[in-house]
Amino acid sequence: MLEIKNLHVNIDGKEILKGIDLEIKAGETHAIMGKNGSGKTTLARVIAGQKEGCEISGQVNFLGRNLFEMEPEERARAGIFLAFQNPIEVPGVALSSFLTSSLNEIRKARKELPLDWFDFSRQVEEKTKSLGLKEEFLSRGVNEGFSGGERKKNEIFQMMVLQPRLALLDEIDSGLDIDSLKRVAKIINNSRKEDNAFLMITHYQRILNYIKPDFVHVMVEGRIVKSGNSKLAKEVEKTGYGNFS
Amino acid sequence: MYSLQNAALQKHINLFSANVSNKLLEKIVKREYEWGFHTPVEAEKAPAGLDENTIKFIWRKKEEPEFMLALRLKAYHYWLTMKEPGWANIKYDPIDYQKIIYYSAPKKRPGSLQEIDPEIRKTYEKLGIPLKEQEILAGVVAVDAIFDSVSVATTYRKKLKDLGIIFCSISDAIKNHPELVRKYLGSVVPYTDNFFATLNSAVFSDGSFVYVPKGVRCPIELSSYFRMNTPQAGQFERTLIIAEEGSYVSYLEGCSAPQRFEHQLHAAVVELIAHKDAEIRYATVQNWYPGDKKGRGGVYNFVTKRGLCLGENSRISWTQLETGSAITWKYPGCVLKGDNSVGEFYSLAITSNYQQADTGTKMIHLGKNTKSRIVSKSVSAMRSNNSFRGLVKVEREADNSKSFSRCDALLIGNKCSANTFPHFEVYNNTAKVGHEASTSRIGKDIIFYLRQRGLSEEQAIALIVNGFTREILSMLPFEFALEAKKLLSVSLEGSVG
Amino acid sequence: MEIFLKEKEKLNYFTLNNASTNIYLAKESHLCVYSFTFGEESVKNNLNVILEEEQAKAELYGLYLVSDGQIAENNTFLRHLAPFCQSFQQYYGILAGKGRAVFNGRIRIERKAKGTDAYLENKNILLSNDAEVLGRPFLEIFDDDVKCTHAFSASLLEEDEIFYLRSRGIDKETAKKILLTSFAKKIINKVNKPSLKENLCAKISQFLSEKLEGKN
Repeated sequence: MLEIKNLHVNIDGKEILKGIDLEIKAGETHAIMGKNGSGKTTLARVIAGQKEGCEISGQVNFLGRNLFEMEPEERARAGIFLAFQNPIEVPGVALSSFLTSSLNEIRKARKELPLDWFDFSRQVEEKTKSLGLKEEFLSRGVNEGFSGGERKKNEIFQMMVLQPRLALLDEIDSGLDIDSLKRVAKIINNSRKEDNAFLMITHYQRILNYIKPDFVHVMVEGRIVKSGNSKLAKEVEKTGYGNFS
Repeated sequence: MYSLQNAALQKHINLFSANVSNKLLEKIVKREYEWGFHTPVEAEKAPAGLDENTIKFIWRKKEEPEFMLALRLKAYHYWLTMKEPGWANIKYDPIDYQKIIYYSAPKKRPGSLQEIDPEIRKTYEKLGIPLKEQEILAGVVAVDAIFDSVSVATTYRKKLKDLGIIFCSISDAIKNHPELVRKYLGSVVPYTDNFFATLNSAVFSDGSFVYVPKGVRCPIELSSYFRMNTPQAGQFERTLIIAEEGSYVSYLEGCSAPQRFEHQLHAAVVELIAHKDAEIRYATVQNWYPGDKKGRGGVYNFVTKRGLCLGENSRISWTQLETGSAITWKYPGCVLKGDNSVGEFYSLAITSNYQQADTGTKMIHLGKNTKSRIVSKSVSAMRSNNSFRGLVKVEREADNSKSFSRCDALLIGNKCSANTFPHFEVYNNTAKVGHEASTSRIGKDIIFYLRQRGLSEEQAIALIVNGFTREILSMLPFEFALEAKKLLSVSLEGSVG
Repeated sequence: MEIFLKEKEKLNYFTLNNASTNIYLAKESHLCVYSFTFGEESVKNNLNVILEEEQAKAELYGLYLVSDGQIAENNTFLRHLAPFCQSFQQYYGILAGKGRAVFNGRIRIERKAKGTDAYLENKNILLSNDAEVLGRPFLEIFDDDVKCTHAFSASLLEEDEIFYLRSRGIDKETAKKILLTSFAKKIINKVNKPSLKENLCAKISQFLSEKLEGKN
């Protein structure tokens, strides 16, 4: 599904990604672990479409298409979803109207009919419940007044509504208490299907106890230095990142 | 792909940019001022320049009674003693008052709708303004179209007449209802009020007159359109709306002007009088030629609008939506004289390119338990400058008055600016005055976030601006909300298709 | 009076009455300025704070209590010239008798001042009908990447709050004193020195006792 070959990214003259090779097939869940500053978030943002201030070289294909020829919204409509590490506020724009527009753009790309208010509300009702979010947050501005944890839940909520092919979850566990973490993990696990894939970015091993990845990659200073299965995550927890240079 | 499907949207996209990529600048159709055309019609003009003879020329052409000449000359002489104000937060080239044409009217005067010069009818059709005797939009709208200085037609006059409502041009009102005009004209904005109001009092050519008798609720939206066509013609309209005890009227003023390179002057005066238990709603949707990308051309818009809540429990609300206009200087305000009266002001100003807007409101609390509410929103893009100036004055006798104002500015890009200059003078301690102002922006990170959710850059901007402007747009009379949205080009429903 | 804060310097400063003070902040410096006016003769304070370099922070706190024949005029001008600076202003006033207050709070955020976070709040409580307040909180913003909020209010004490205290057995005058004191304390609590705080509280008590006597 996603093929990354020799990806180099410079930001403001500084080399952040120094040659990333990664392949994610449909049905797989990958995890990237690394310290802060190792380049994990940059990787996610570049896949999602960030270009501002970046010098990018290498090849990235998504579902057979050259990702670099696609604008961010085209990538989203093709099925890429990024749960931001720091979701921002968009005050004055109700979450429900934003999400309806977004969903309908994606549905259009999939040649499906747009949803109207009723259908949208129905679909959304159970999803809000499963995350433990109150109904009213739909009419509030996007992330307006939300705590860090609530913003993370909002990202997962959006993921549930938009049903992406490839979900990039950047530090989805930060800011969540243990109950919320369990809920989120349950949702993600239930969403894992044969035709979609997940890439989890984290620097704590904890979330990987609840969402067992098929593959784990350790990232140090812009490179993937080791790849393995879920046992690798436990190893990192024991010995720390220092051992992996 | 999607850019093709969004072609219709692109056509309507307005001129926001700066913080957005170059690709967007290419894609966005900088909306050529759609209404920038000129109607070739024979016009009867006064020679350029202003002196006593010009005044007499106007008075004669309009066949006004004696008292009007006296009024005009008094104002003219007073104007000669005045100095143009220069304190607004605005830079503009000095106006040469002798170069302006103060009277311009199409040569043929119509007796009925059918007789209107076909060129003029075409102009109004192009503008999308109906001059037909039939139901318009969902509700029923009476339109009084003003082409340069003369009212071209007034529809629905008969229907309103049956209710006792007078809706006609002010020229007609001066001839047919002189006692009303004498009583109320200048009672809210005296001829000495300010430089431009004084000029207007001397040379005003036309405008609307509305009179609603006691207890009558005007069943339709009254509307007027102004248009400046002759080069160098200034436009000096004068509007007077009187709502007798217990009555209600809603009025919409909409304007446009064609593309020009010399500045055009617009100095209007609007007076509203609401008696006991009466309500007047006045809305303006203004789409001035904004000046070209270099800031040349454009309209000088100096308007004095004031509402007097004369009787107890009366209510006046001003709603305005503005885009374009090179220089705007408007301070609609309310004098809240009657106890329990309410004044409201809702404004949305959009500026781009080199536009400058200096807008604001004045609320003067005189009576007891009076209330005022001000909501001002501005969107500034490119190199434009948007200033809000508010005055809330609570006089000593205004016990238990309440005033709340809220100013929000949305900035797009880092070459624009927004200023807020509120003034509060509180001379009564039982009053409650509150004010909040805040700024926000459309930043790259917000745009990226929305794009990652599948919305294009245009859609993202439209979404944010729509959320920001919704409160004001909802205040416009329903019949005109569509036009307003088109003007703003930010309809969420339209962008998702 | 000109004061220059060096890089990373911290300063707590109490302005003198009737002074014009200009304070310049260098990179990462932190300023706390206090202006207190307690029922003295008329006072006019000019305070200009210029945030010249990145990540400087300025906090301005003012409390003015005025009574008959007194005018407290506070003029502040906060200029943001550099990115990522913060400014926070809270000026509260209690006006009794024929006291008058003028507050001109101007904030100007220049084009290069990205990431500015500015806040201004001016609250006035008018105790009598002869009291007058003039407020002009001005905002001039030349960059879009800023967060700027300001608020102004003028009112009486809240009836609900007075009633609440009275329903707990406290008489009207004392209730008013309590509410006014807690209003003023919001500013006093920003002062770090406990001894100074006590001093200020005592002054407020004194002012309120004198001015509230016999007033309704």
